[in-house]
Formats: sequence, structure tokens, C-alpha cells
Amino acid sequence: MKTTGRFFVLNIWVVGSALAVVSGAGVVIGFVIWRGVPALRPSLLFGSAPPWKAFWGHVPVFDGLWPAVLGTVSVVLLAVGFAVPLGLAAGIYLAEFARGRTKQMLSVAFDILAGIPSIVIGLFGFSLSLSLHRFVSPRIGPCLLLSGFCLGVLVLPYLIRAVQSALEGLPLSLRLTALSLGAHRIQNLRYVLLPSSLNAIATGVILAIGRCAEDTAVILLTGAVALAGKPRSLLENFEALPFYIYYVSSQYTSAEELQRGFGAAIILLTISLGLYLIALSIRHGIGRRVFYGR
Amino acid sequence: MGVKIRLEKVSFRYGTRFVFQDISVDFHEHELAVIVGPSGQGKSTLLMCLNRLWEEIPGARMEGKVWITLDGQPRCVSDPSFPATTLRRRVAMVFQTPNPLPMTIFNNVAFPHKLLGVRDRNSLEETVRKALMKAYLWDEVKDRLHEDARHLSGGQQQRLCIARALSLDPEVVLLDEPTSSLDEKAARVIENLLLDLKRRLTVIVVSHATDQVRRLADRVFRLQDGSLRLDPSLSLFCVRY
Amino acid sequence: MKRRVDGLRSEKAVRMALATAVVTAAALTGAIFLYMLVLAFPLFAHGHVFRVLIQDWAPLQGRYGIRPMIGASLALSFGALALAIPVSLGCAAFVSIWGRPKPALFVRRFVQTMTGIPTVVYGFVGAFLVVPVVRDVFQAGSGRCLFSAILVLSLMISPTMVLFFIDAMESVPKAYVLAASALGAGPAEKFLWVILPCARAGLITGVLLAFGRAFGDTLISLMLAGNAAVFPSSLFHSVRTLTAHIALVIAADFQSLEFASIFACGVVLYAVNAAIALVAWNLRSRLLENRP
Repeated sequence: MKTTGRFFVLNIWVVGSALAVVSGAGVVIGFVIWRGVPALRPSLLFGSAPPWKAFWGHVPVFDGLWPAVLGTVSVVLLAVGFAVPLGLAAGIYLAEFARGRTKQMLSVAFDILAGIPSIVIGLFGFSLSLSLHRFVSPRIGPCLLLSGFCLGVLVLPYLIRAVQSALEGLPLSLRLTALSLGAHRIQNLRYVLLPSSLNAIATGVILAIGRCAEDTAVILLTGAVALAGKPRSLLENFEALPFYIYYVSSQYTSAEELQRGFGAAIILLTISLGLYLIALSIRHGIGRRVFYGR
Repeated sequence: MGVKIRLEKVSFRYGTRFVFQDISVDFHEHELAVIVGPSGQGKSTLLMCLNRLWEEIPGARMEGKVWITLDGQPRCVSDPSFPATTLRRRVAMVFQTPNPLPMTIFNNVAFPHKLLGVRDRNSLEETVRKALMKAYLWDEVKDRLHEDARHLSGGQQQRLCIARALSLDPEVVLLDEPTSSLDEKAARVIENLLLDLKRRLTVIVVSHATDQVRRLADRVFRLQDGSLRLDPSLSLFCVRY
Repeated sequence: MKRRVDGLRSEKAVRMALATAVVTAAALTGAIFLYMLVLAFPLFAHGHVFRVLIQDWAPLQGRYGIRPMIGASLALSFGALALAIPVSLGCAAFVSIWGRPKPALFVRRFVQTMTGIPTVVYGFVGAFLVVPVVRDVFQAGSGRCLFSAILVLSLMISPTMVLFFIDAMESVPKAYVLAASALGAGPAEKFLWVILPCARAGLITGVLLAFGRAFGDTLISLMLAGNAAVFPSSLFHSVRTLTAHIALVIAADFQSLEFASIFACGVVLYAVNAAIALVAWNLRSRLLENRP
């Protein structure tokens, strides 16, 4: 390759950019690990309470992350429980039954839903709770249930798209096989299409779980607080890891608290990256299956 | 020999692009008709008009009428009031590349019956055995019925697909280049199978290989430039009638 | 739509259930916008729509304009894009064309994994690493300013942009690149005159979507930009974006006009992102039509 001037400049730019991106993220991850590793002890999670008893909830934890971890798990389960069935149904409809104009309009609607900033979704949730508070029952306010619902709304378009592209990505011959044997559309879905798309759909669900676990803006407005203990009821406030991290960054009062913040950051980072890597490995598993073992 | 399938002025288009227009032709009962012609001009599409599988493809439109004699009665199967699922059980299709479902050999062949709600183990076993025998596959797989169908060789998979298609006792079988992905030995087995099938059913095959056409066909049709005609030059070699 | 008298009644029932799900999901999109509009109404009615958008924020003097926040959001987004686009483009070029196979694969996998880093972690690192550095190096008050936010935000939006760009570049038909090689073009020429122009639509879509993400980001600006509701006049001054405004004012008395201003922010955020989604959708459908 001739080292013309243009080539040289481009070379520097391209290689330099790759280095910049990689080292940028490397610095972020490295910094978190460096500052957070010293915090990795059982007291990070359970504070001054005895770990085993605190794990089972017999003893309250005041200066540890365990309630936040439980809170995050609870809200993610709620969100996924709401969004997965709805997303599955809508994705199936889009892939199998919607045609022409309807399909286009629905796709646009879901593209818009996917683009709505998370804080706006949180705001929607908050206003919803105001309405419910006024018109249904004064007991209703920002709470675990509301956060779960709003997180569900946040990830719903991604799930829909995952299901839709999983089904539409199946080879045409597979999509036609059962039909050519006299199957109805629903039978085709149930016996052939859905079983064949499980990997892709599972990947989508796992990525959605990751998105719910890390989100802060939505739960900020719909029920996450700094101190609430372990999640006791659907209609009460709760703690969550990402919220804790945000809270510490502006309100920390001691070096110990800050240390805990870094510890929380490591835990959250591990959860998110871990989920992501699981999803990636599932997706690569598909590649080999689709070719029917040939 | 009665008319089994009649196409009346059948046209087909994807969006605004016509694939073929105003095709009118009869296929006879118990004949093995072969359709030849240049690639990409609609032979597979023509087959799909006979079992209405084209309806599952977005943007596809068929005009005209298709009549098929089923259970002794001519029925207008292209009419929306005739259930497509029923049609596809009487008019079976085998695709160019073998497409076993991701299930065991047994479940593949039993699948059309499971779709109909048949649960009885004994009757399913009997049906599967008969179908695999008709497809010249029983001896090779009778000891491994519960293995994954994808472990079979190409030729075996294609015969499996034929067995699966035959398990409902269809009256017509459509085969779209059934041996093009197979080696010669496997192809010959399937050709003999088709000649055998013709005694009980009507068989329509799309093929590219001239010598295969000569070995198999009662009549040969050429689909070219949007129309379907009897091809006299190839039919000359077929001394069947 | 053709009507087929086919199908069991159960198929029809299932289909109806699926259709209901779809409609519900789509209705959410509209419902969110409606809520924003309705709740912002007191503010819009109190002063004209344009006044809200053009005025400054001084609630003590009765001015509830969100102009400073709009300015801050735009400044932050464009600033982050200005940094991120060249870097992402270069990185994508490295992965898809330029780099040797092993390093390119490493970078690709690394960037893919990067998309899993939570935003709040970026913000946290920004607060304790970037902010002190900016404070010391640029003598910029507390260090929480537009510049710090831009630095971190540009890093955050890069991975998704890089992946999008890679996809766009790899979709350029190899035939074109080969043809250029056959005519004697070197790697630089191929990149500049063949790949970039052909991948143009995909690249633009990537930029648009990244802009949407930057405009809608909350945590990074909330944690790093300082949150003063003043129109941005310098890189090193504290600013407050539309998103941060919502998070900060949510605790205000909800009968007040101050509170209603967050819905005005919501309307603007929704509208901008809906517009981006529509344009991107348009671009993508045109891309699909033109593909061979």
C-alpha cells in the first residue's frame, strides 16, 4: 500500500478513533473497578446486619445495598411480566397478520414509542398516578407497581421488534411448510414458527431485562427513593441500584457512602454486562441451529 | 381419462409485475405431467396456484379460476369460500430443498394428522408406517423413528418430505424440482417412486433436467414468456398414451 | 384485504386477542403525548405557546419560559455529536474495512459489549473523574458544566453509532468496491469515494438516532451539567437540559405553573423524538426500496 499523504492521514484518524473509543470505555470500566473493588465485602450488601439473617429478610438493612438489589429485581420482574406477553402478542400480530397500510402505521407508532426519552415515560407514569390518585383512590401514588408498568412501556417496543424480526427472519420455506400441509396460521405459529424463533426471542427478553435493570430516569419519577427498606408491597416506594448510584453522586455525606456508591456501580455494571453477554451467546447459538445441523 | 385439474384464464402478478397471464390448461387424472421452462419465469408460482400457497406471500395476486376434481366432484378451489387448509390436505406439495420440520422422523410424518387433532397413538403409528413405505423410506428408518429428522441424508430427507406429504392420502402431489439438490443415485430412487405414485394419484412435477423429463413425463408443458404450452418436442419421447 | 371463510373460530378468537394487544400497545404511544399536552395546558393557556418556548426561566418573576432548557439540550446534543461522529465514523471504518482482522474483531466485540454499560455508571464516573479534572484544568467553577456533560455523553452515544455505521458500511455491495479496486483505487479512495457515498443513508440514520438519544438523555446532564436554568453562553457554564428540568421540578407543588412547565418540556421532547423517528423511518424505507 502506497503511503500517500491522504492515506496516512486517514490511517491516523481511523486507528486513533478506534483507540479513543476503546480506551474511553476502558477508562470508565477501569475507574469503577479501581474505586469499587475495595468495597466488595458482604457489608456492602448487608451493612452492619448479619448477612444470613438479612438475606432472608429477618433483619432490616439500613446501610447496605440489599434492599436496593431486591428492589431492582422486583421492579424488573414486574416490568418484564407486563411487557413480554403484550410484546409477544403484538410482535406476532405484526409479523403474521398485519399487511400494507396497517402494518406501516403500526410500525411507525412503535418506532415513535421506542424513541420517547425515558424521562418522558417516567413523567407519563407520574401523571398517571396523579390521575389515579384523584379519580380512583388516594392511596395510589408513585410506587413499585407504577415503576414496573412504566419500565414495561419503556422496553415494550424493543420486545415487539425482537419478536417481529425473529418471526420474519425465518426462512420462507420454513414459514410455508406447515401451511402446505394444511395447518392454520395459529397452528403454524404454535408448532413451527414460535419454537423456531425461541432463541431470538429469548435474546430480546434478556436485553429487555438488562434495560430495565439499568434505567434510572423512569424509576426516578415513579417510585424509587433513597431509603425504603426491602420491597414490601406493590403500592409503596422502593429502593433500586441505579437510583442509589445517582443519589450518592449528589448527596453523599461520607467517604463510606461514596465507596458504597462505587460498589453499587460495580454490581450494576456486572449485572448489565453479564446479561448482555448471555444474550450475545444465545444469539450465536442460533446461527448454528438455523442451518439444521448441516 | 378424466380431467383432474383445470386452469381457466389464470394470471399471476407480484404487485404490478405479471408473472404469467391467461393460462388455460387441463391436467388429466393419473398422469405425470412435467413443467419445464427457463428459470425465474413462474414455474414454482404456477404450482402454488394449485394449492393456494401464494396467498401467504405478501403482494401476490392471482386472477382466474382453478377447478380440481376432489372425491369425484369438480370443485372451484380458487374461490375464497373453499377452505385453503382443506385444499392443501388434498393437494400436497414437496419443495425443492428438503424441509424437514425440526422434529423427529415420526413426528414429521405424523404432523399433518396432529394438526387435525388425531391423538391415538396406534392409528398414528399405522399411518406413519404406511406413508414411509409409500415413500420407499420405511426400511431405512424403521429403527430410528425417534431421531431428529435433520440427521438424515439429503435424499432421505426429501423422501421424508414426500412421505409427510402423502400421509394424508392426497389426490394430487405437486413437486417443485424435487431432485435438484440430490445426487444421481438418490434422484433415481425418487423418480421411481414418482412413477409408482402416478398409479394412485395425479402428479405434477417441475423439472430442469431433460433426461429426467424424458424418463418421467406423460406430457410435458413449457412455461415461457408468461404462457403455458404443451411442448411437442419433448413429448415426442414420451410414449405413454 | 381479502376475506377468507377459512379458519376455525378459535383462530379468529386468537387473532382478535393479538389485534387487541397491538392496538393497546400502539395506543400507549398516543396516550403519552396526550397526557403531556393536557397537563401542559395550564401553562400554554396562561401564556401563548410561543411565549413558553421563547421566554426565560424566572419563576419568581412569573416567567415560565423553557428557552434556556431548549438551548441547553440543543447545545449538549450538537456538542456531543460533534465529538462523537468523527470518532464513531473512524472506529467503524477501522472495524469494517481498515483494521487487520484480529484487532478489528476485538474492537467490534468490545464496542458491542460497551452498549451494555448503564448510563448512570457513565454519569457516576463523569462526576468523580471528569468533573474534578475539568474543574482543575479549565478553572471552571465546580466542574459541572456543559463541557463535562458533552465529553461523557459523546462517549455514551458512540457505541450505538459505531455499530450502526458498521452495518451501513458493510451493506455496501462488494461489487462496487471490487469495481473500484479494478480501476486502480487505493484504500483511501475506495473509502472516500465508494463506501461513504453508498452508505450515506445508513450513516445519516445512525446520526439521527444518536441525536435522538443525546437529546433525550437525562442522567448524564442531570449529574454533570450543573443544572442552572440559564441559556448556555459558554462551554464552561452550568446549564440545565429539558430532561434535567423535568427531574428537578417534579418535586414542586403540582398545582403550580412551575410544575406545568415540565409538561411543556415533555411536549418538546416528545415532538422532537417523534420527528426524528418519522424521518428515520422514511430514510429506512427508501433505503429498502433502493437496495438491489
